[in-house]
Amino acid sequence: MTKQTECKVINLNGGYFERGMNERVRFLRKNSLLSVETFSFERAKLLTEFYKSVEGKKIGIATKRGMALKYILENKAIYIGEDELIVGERGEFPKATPSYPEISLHSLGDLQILNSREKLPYKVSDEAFKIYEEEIIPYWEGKTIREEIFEKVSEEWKRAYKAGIFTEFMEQRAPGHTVADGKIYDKGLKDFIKDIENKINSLDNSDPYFEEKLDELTGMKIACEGVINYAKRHAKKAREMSLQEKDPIRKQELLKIAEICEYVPENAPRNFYEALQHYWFIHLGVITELNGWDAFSPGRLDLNLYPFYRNDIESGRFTKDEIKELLECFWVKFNNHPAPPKVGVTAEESSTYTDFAQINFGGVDKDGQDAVNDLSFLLLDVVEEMRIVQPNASVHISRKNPDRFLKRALEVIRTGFGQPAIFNADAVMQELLRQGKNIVDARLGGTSGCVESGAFGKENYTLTGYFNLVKVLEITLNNGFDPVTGEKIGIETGQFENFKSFEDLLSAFERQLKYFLDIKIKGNLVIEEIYAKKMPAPFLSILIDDCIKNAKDYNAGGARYNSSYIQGVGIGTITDSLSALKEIVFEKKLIPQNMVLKILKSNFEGYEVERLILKNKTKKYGNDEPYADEIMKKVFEMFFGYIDGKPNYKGGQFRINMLPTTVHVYFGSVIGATFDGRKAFEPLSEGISPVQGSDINGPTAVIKSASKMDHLKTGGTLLNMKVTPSLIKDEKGLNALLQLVRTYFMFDGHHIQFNVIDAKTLKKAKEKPENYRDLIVRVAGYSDYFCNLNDKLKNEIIERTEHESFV
Amino acid sequence: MKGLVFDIKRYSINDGPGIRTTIFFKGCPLKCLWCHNPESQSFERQFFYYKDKCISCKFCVASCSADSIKFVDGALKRGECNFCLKCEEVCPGNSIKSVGSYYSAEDVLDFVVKDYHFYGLNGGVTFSGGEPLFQFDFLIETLKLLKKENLNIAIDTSGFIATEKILEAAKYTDIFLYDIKHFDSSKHKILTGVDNTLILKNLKELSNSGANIIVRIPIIPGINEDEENLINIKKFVKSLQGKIKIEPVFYHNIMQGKYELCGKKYSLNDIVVPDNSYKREKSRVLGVDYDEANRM
Repeated sequence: MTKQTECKVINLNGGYFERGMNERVRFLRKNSLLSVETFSFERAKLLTEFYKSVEGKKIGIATKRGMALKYILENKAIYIGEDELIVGERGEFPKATPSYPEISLHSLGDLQILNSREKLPYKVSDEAFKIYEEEIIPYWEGKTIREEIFEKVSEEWKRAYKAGIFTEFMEQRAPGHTVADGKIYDKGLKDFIKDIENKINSLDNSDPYFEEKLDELTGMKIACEGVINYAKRHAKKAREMSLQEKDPIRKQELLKIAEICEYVPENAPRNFYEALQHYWFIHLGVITELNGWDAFSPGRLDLNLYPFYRNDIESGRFTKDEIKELLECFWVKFNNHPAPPKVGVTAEESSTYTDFAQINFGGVDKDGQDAVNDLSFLLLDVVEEMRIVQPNASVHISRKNPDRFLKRALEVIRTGFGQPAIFNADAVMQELLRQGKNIVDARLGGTSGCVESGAFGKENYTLTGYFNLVKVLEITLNNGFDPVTGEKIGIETGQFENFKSFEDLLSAFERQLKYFLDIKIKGNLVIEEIYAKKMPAPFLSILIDDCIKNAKDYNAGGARYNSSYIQGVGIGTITDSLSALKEIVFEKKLIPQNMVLKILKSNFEGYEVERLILKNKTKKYGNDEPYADEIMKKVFEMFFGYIDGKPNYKGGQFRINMLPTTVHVYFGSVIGATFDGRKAFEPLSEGISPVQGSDINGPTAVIKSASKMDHLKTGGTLLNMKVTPSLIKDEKGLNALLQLVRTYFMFDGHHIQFNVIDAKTLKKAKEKPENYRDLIVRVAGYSDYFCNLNDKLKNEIIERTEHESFV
Repeated sequence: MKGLVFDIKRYSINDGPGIRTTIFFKGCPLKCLWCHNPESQSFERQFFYYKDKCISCKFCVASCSADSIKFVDGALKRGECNFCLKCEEVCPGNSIKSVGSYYSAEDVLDFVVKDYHFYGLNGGVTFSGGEPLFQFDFLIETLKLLKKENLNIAIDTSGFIATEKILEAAKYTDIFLYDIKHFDSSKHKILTGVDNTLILKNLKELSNSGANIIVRIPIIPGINEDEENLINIKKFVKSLQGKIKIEPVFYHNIMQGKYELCGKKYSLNDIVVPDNSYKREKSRVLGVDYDEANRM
């Protein structure tokens, strides 16, 4: 079996650039893959020009932001690539990635790092350096959101941030994590303008917020006009290009593009082609306005576009193949858009080019009925054929969805690039209901980013930062001190040697946890207020109900639902550490209590026997072992209890989820040895997966352990499951995996993703990356090129994969 | 009553339909040259010793209640053992693993219900080995208990057992996985240590009883792969009545390491592991549609 697997990977290497249904798609896909990630200064330059032009003028902030977007879109370069059917780029060309100096200003040093770093570089031109030095930096220095954040948060916050207790999502990127719903296909931007104007006319000028509301609505209207004009500039450009075009077929295509860009997004789309282009302009509007996390997502594509699909197929306007071609062209557009260039901790917590636009298919419709349709299957074909890391495809499986849909998804997963991820549509809905959403909004919701549940088109659900549960335990063991730096950053909760029982330790941990969570929450309130007052997003606000109705910005609490998430990380590592402390130190007393800190400090040097005991002889999470799983539940409930339901600035609540992206590597790098036998600075466990290599009872045991967490209290959990190719090589293996997923979902599991690749192949890829540049693996909530990962992540994935306890 | 079990595997997907938990009984009357579970043959408890995991801490020596563990040339040597299992318990590197534990029927039930929710419509519990029917009384007691819980039962057997016993077990069994290793009795004896007269007779009796049977033919290149043998088996199976089908099981060699762990010599080192075209060809001879879902 092993041999077969390798052959397949090698074969794909040969076809690295040659995927796609026809020559056009292959060409566009290849172009996208070959394009170099480039730092684009165009947006920064236009933004600065605009801000200078209105300096001193009395303009409301939302209006100003709307005008800024309009100015950028009316002056930026228009790109229509050879053979493209769906058009529009955020930068001047594919993978040209703009910066957002109003949020986070890259220094010349940052630009040098971006230009030269080994992993995930962005090419920075000499001109960019020059313009940054002469125009951008002098104008924005001292005015950015990032600077204001670091100025306003408390000293405790800064100490904890520096120590790696938590990260902060909004220090370099705006609040995002939001998704379009179906309304954008029923309405053109001109209809939204009408809604806005009606709202303006209904404003009461005795309302104390009259000025603010008027400002917001004015900004929205201008932003809409900007996006409409942007599309029309594409129409003009396409028409110009058609005059020069010698190939009669391409000439017709360009004229068609012109016709479509003239019509959408101003008007509601009339067919499938227009619908995709319509979405794409809206997408570009959102990601040009601000650099919100996770870009923007089309959400339930099969559900929203099925009426167009059916109509076009039935009327003969498009064949199924033509629709597929459009979808594949659409796929390439996502791949053309790497994440805005991140630096520092943010680059470490999200160490990838991927910008996490997620497309959902499957699930239920507004009435709770099975929503799987022909288009859902066609989308799976597209995912399989395209085999690219963006967009991030996910299938949503309700108990009402047919097995054949899940099975088809597993077939695509079996080809081994981690997509699609599988979500439990019924659990997502229950999570949203628990948070107080109405049932229709919950049914029409889904997931975005990695695994985050949201009410599409109606919710601002911001992820605010990862939280390092394991670091808090380390601080607890050291009575408030960080043993890595020697600095005191926590509160004094008692000397570890003096704890009489495991319960003493747990209650000290709880107090320490509460202390740091309070710091994080307070910091979040400060940051939310800064965005609410200083950085409205009028264009995004149009798309999210009920911002127009409330005449209030998305970033200020205008949405129907407003959630702020803190993401818990390291549940596997902390559970195993506590389990070992409980059993080996407090119960069996195999290792004396007064030796614990010494052993950890030594990083097990001279204590190999102790390390092996901790690695091999303790009860670990992920083995369907109540002793460890009960500890996991306790830690989870504490984390939940100190966050869930607390009010945020936007008028909503704080919530939790359990996902890591790549932060478990960074968080591990700030923690010394841990009592589960992990050596200093090694990665933590990721998501809610067991510690790498510690689950020895097979996948059913992992699923049972993971299910003991109450997923419905979260807004998303991430379970990574390694699957050796031999395990799903045939029908039988596929059916068993299907049953495994169904059972996990019956237990309310939120999400599961599979890495189907053997360790041997990964090791070879690590040695000879040049032969494996197409090798895509599932990291955490997204797929990425193996070769783009840093060594620690590579090793971690190899270890994760190598451990084949159930062959 | 307790039975000697040497392994329990959850998420077994190659021991009968669906997701199953497989209980491996220790002890087998056959000694097949290619045996995939060499530790299953003996009816006694024994130990695996992973030399590469051993750090020579000698905790085992100190813990041994029989005072019979020694280190010779840096490796563990074991004398008389009274199976207190202290050495396994104290070994920090998990380099000692006892093979064989006693389970009551209730112990087995407690274990298999852990995955109850995964079994679905056709998954369940498989008894394998060794030869599960050789611990007959314990097996029957366990089967009765599991059947009360409505669990689906498979028995993976060599068929080398008194006929009335296999027919009795059939009352509680949903499906048999029944091996035929060679059709020629004298060759069968050379390869497995026993002749196949009883095995073929039992298969016939079992099929007459209406049992659901998958006849599994281990195909070992150069040993029992010849067309004549396969066709004879096929003809024999075709001549039987009832719910019976053939499934080839192809040779692999990933178990060779286990021979070393339990201090046995493996005699078939030179056999080439079958590739897909070989598998397809042999399946054709057996008249089986080889599932070419092998797209990996």
